[in-house]
Amino acid sequence: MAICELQEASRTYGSGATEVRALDRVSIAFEPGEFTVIGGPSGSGKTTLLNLVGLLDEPTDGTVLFGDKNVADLSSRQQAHTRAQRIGFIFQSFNLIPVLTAQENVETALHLAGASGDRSARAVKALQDVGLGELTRRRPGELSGGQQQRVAVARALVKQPSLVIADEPTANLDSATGTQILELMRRMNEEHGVTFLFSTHDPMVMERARRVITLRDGRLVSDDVRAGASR
Amino acid sequence: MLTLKLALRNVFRQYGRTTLSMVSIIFGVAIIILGRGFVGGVKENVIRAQVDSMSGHVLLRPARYPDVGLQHPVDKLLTVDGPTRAWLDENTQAWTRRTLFVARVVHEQDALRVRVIGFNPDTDSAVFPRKSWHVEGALPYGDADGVVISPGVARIFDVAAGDSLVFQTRTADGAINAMRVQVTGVLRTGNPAFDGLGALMAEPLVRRLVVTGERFSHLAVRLDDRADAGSVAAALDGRVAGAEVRTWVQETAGLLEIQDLRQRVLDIIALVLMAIAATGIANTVLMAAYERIREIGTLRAMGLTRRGVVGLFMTEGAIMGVVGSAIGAILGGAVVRKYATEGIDLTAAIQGNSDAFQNIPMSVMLYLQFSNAAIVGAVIFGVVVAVAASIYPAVIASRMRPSEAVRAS
Repeated sequence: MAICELQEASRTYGSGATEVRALDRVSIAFEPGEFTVIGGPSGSGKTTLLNLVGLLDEPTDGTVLFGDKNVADLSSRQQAHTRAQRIGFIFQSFNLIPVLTAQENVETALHLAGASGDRSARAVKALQDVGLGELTRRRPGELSGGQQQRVAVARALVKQPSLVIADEPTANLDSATGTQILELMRRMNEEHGVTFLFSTHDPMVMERARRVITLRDGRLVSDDVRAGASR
Repeated sequence: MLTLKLALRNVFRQYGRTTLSMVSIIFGVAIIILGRGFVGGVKENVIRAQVDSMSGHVLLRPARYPDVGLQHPVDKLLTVDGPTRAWLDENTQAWTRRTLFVARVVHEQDALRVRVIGFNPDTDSAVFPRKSWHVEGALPYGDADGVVISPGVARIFDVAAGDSLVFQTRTADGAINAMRVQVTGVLRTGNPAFDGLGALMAEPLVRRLVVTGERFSHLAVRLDDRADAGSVAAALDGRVAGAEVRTWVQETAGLLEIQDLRQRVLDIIALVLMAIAATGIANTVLMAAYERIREIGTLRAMGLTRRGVVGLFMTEGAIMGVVGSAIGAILGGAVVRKYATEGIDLTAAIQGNSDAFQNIPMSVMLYLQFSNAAIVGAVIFGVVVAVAASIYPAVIASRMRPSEAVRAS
């Protein structure tokens, strides 16, 4: 079963003369274990698509299924619980909570997911996995951009979600750091079977994807599955 | 736990702004506590002064006796029979008789209307303690013909112990009588009701001046516990012909009305301060919400519910309320406790405003009333105001769309 599926999903903003159709009758499914990139120029609907898949927004027309559930049937609270337990997010601007340490940022994801057990130990382990075992007590302001994005990766992965959504995760990083972050996510995909869904303009990210979906003007223009993406 | 940790750190990340917002809470809570302590202290002061100088815990006086002003008629006096004396001896700590009347006091070309208290030299001090009395000269006692006058009378006539004054009054039968009486001393009681235009003379002299015989106008009772006044008053009711029985509560009710008014004024000031505090806190929390749109969006994306966002911001308001109220309670409580122990000397204030205090019995030492209930109440009020002020910004924050909030700049 697909993790998430869009059926003729559309999303419009505004009304009348100012109406903008950000996504136009898109049908697509994402299967477990995918390492998928959504490409396309600015304004093509990449972020809107990620918002629908990540349950941050709802379509104005069509259907979004998460697992076997129609998102439209879920209450705001149920959607929040689904995000907490099953979806990890990585943002272009890292979006760490500045008043919390790296470890506390990661623990927050476990807390919101309602995870039992030693959350502190799990958070430290997740940070060790991304190479930040020595920096657990640092606050985001004391970390470099690359380190902050590693914390964000650890935060997204620590609760073992079925889907990680990464919105232009390398856009604010230099190419070397971006490559490291990308390799880290690729490793998580291969070793733990975590499903990744990216939006990006970055050719380096495109190269590593196994599936590349291209949007233009809110419409799906291509959906290519590659046998062997570069490492 | 996560909410509390986040709220605590968020509140103190804008330290200056948070402190400014809390200042009005601090002052509001402190003023509530100070106001309650002051008014409570004044009330107790008035009660004690009235009980210790004029009424005792239970007072018998002629029925329909005037309550206000310088009116002390002697046309309906009281007598107490043997069984009632025995009952009073057995069931009270002490009791005494007094006769209050108004005399026209003449000195050379000047004359004044003066409130005169005729007292029983043997029993009066057991009912009306004289701890705060200060006499320049001597109190009249026994059968001696003498009078002590208040500082007000002494000042106006420019007389002192050794001088004499003419006391002119109506007798109990309505005739006019007058006597020249030697001043034995000048008495300051600390009670402005006497210290303005008052005089004190012993019962034997009053019997001759007012021709009262064995009769008197007031019978005052002192009890071990003033809470028993109601039951003692009920037991005395009907025992003395023509008398009405009043407790210290009834005797002070009118005097305390002005204190209740003062309490309401202080409460209004505190409410205005709290309204300012609420506005400040609402503004602070709202600014925090707008400054942290992306954080709210991130937390929402990670699974925090709308209710969780409301809880987070209301917790931030509550923290400001708790900290501000605690500081206000410590400051206000410390001042009240200090003056509850040391007291405030009102001598200068009373002497400088003798007209204002003329009919209000007040001891010169005012002890504020320290009350744990007042402090707890003020703190709870401060916290409730702060939490209530956070509701609107909390709801605003919870309604932010996570899809837009996560990418806010």
